[in-house]
Amino acid sequence: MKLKVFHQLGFRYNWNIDSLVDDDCGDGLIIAPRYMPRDIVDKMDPAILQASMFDPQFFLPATPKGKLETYDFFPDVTANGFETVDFADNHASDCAHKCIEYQNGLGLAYVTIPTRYFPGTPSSFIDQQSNTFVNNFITEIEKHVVDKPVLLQLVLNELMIKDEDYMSDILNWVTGTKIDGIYLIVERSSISKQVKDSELLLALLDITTALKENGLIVVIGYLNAESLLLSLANPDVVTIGAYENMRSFDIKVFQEVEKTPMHGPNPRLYMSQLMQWVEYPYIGLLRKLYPAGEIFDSTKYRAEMFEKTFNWHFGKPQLYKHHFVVITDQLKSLGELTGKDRFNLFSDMTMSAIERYNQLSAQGIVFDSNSDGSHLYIWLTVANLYATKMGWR
Amino acid sequence: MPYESEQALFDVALQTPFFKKLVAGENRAQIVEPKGLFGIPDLLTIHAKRNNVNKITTTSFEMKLKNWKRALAQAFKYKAFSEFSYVVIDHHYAMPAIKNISKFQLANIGLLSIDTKGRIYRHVTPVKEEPYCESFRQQLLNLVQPLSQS
Amino acid sequence: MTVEEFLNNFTLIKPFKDTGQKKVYLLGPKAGGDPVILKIGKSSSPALFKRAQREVEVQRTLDSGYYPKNINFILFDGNQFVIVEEYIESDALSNCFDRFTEPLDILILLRHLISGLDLIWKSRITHRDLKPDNILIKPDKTPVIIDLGIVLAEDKTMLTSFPCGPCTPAYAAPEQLKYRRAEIDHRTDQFILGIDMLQLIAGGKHPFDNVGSGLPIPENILFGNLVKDNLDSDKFKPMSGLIMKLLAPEPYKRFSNTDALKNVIEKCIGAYDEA
Repeated sequence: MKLKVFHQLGFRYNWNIDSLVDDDCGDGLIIAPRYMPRDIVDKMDPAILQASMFDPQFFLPATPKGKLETYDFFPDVTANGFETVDFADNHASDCAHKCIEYQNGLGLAYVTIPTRYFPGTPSSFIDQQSNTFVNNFITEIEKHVVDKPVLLQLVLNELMIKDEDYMSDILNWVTGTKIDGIYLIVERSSISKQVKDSELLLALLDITTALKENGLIVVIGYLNAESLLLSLANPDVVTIGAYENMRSFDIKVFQEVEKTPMHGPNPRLYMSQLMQWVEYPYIGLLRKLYPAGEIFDSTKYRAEMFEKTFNWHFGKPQLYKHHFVVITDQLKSLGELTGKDRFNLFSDMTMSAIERYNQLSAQGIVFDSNSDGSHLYIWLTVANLYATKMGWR
Repeated sequence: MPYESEQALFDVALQTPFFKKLVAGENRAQIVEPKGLFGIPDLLTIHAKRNNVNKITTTSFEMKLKNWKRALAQAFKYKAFSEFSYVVIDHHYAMPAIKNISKFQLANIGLLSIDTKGRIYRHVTPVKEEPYCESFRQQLLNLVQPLSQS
Repeated sequence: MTVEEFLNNFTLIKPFKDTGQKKVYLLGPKAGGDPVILKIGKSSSPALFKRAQREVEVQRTLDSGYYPKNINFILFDGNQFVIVEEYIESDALSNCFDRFTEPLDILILLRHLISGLDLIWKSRITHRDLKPDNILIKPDKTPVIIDLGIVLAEDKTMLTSFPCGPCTPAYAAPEQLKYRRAEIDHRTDQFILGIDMLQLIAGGKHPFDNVGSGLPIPENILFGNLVKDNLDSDKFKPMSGLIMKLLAPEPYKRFSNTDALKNVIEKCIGAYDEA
């Protein structure tokens, strides 16, 4: 089965849609009601919807942040004020009915059973998910005769993922539930821009493998460049995103938080030869070292960004549309191969990126930890460990 | 004897003749932890040649007790807007940095260490280099402009 | 009519079981015809009665040589009930371990059992008590699965409230011993079959008994302490992966569906056929 790439839609969802339609970049979208009001989603091109999925984003069911309130099936809206016990007893069924009916009506590629967000490792995680959403959604799915694969959404944090017993319980539960797949979202605790936690990465590969071995479809959301590594476990769908909060899940996006004045981040450029987003000031240096531009990926957006008049700012669409094209190409190359061959290609890509960083270092460039290649050694190690488990080396 | 804190190191450093020379005197100024640039230097010194604010030379300093690697990466960022950039490290912990002196030389980042008696040891002296990021250089000039008027 | 009056219609061939609560006999109808199995129980024991009802309910949906047919289920005055069931000439697997010493025989038996169990698994029913006593072997070595009394239909309520759940602890999967009801499904039956098959491979010795840990069998199951020396021998090695996957402590590590399991069984059979 071909590796698919879905756009994780966020605040600038139009950039993703443009990328999909104009640049033929990616295979579909994960529609986000947090940012897209219902009337916009209702009017979307059916051909796009057919290739996409809808993420109900019920993570905090009492908080209809942003455009979530435009969906009458959002728990707080359905129940006119969400409270756990009251919802489970009196509104869960109605909510499930409306949500499934809506997704069914959109003609999507997958139908999603939503999840509730929990921090830590609550002992009642499975029961609460089952009682709040899962059981009622499965009942409604059976009633509605849904003919698309059904995905159960899971938001798992690092504590859960690294706790073998806890994860076994979750895997036993989901593999015994009447679903076709899992839409997995990982909440990281580290603030580093790339994932450098080898234990976490290896656990994710193992979890994906276990799910696949149980015949389940696996969609992994909110991914950054670690999608390249995670492709080794052969998920069905990996995601790409624009702003950082679409490439790393952050529950704050769904919370009502006090607005503190924020300074926008420095713009970054994704570079496939480094498998990294490099902060803008370094780009000028690299352009001086490589005047022919051979270290940069060639897209129409790069040409625009390298114009003298271009004002580098994190809110410029070219940064992200360039990234979409570049990383999708990388994922496509990996996706054309399977098993050991895919691992070998990933390994080559990573070692080439390490070598490139060595060349830059030899020229006196010192990147900080969010632009450097320190993640690559970890990714390569994890890939090697996983490949050994799989008998590829 | 090591320094107890980076603040203590900073305070002692500024009392040394090396730093006093950079900040005292005509056409010289300093900014402590200037914001809005690429990273936040602990100290930025400015020297305007012949009172011409468009012909300034700046030196940025990253002061650390021992994490020389992180200090080196930070100091490199400051080269985006500064002609000179230094790492200043606690002399008590300077040996690992000194053993990696070639990295400082290659990156053209100065390396100083300072002991608790205020003695400065120069290990690498950088050469003047044009800042590598025009927009942050301009940002720096914008920061410096009000100083020249005061 | 009382049970005694009903029994007057039959001649006793032999008694099978008498636990006080439940009695099982092999009887011949005086009016002629094939012998039948009669199970007599007290309906005043709610658990036993519900268990009997469940067994009959499931049996009546099955039309397969892998299960005895239900002939009748009668409630009598005096709070007793009788189940009349087809008698199939056979012996419990627990009495004929010596008939299954060769790998192909064990694999073919397993294949039959999976085919039979798939009929209830398809309806999301789990047997939960597949110990060797509940697997009867016919003269042609094909199995008959009996005692559907504690089957678990995944959407039905529990029959009993034992702390460990209804099961035979020495032939129970870890999720049964931990009483993780939500995890009990067809994969639970796989684990129990794994115990049965490994017991056959070990010449009748229970794989989780006397493993050197000093612990009783259920604890050994929970801790994964088992003896698999025979499985590691050249004779049984080709089926080692299959058996160990059935005995994976976590349900998600066993076979996710019958087809996957059947495929592996066929591969193992093929490996022995070629050898």
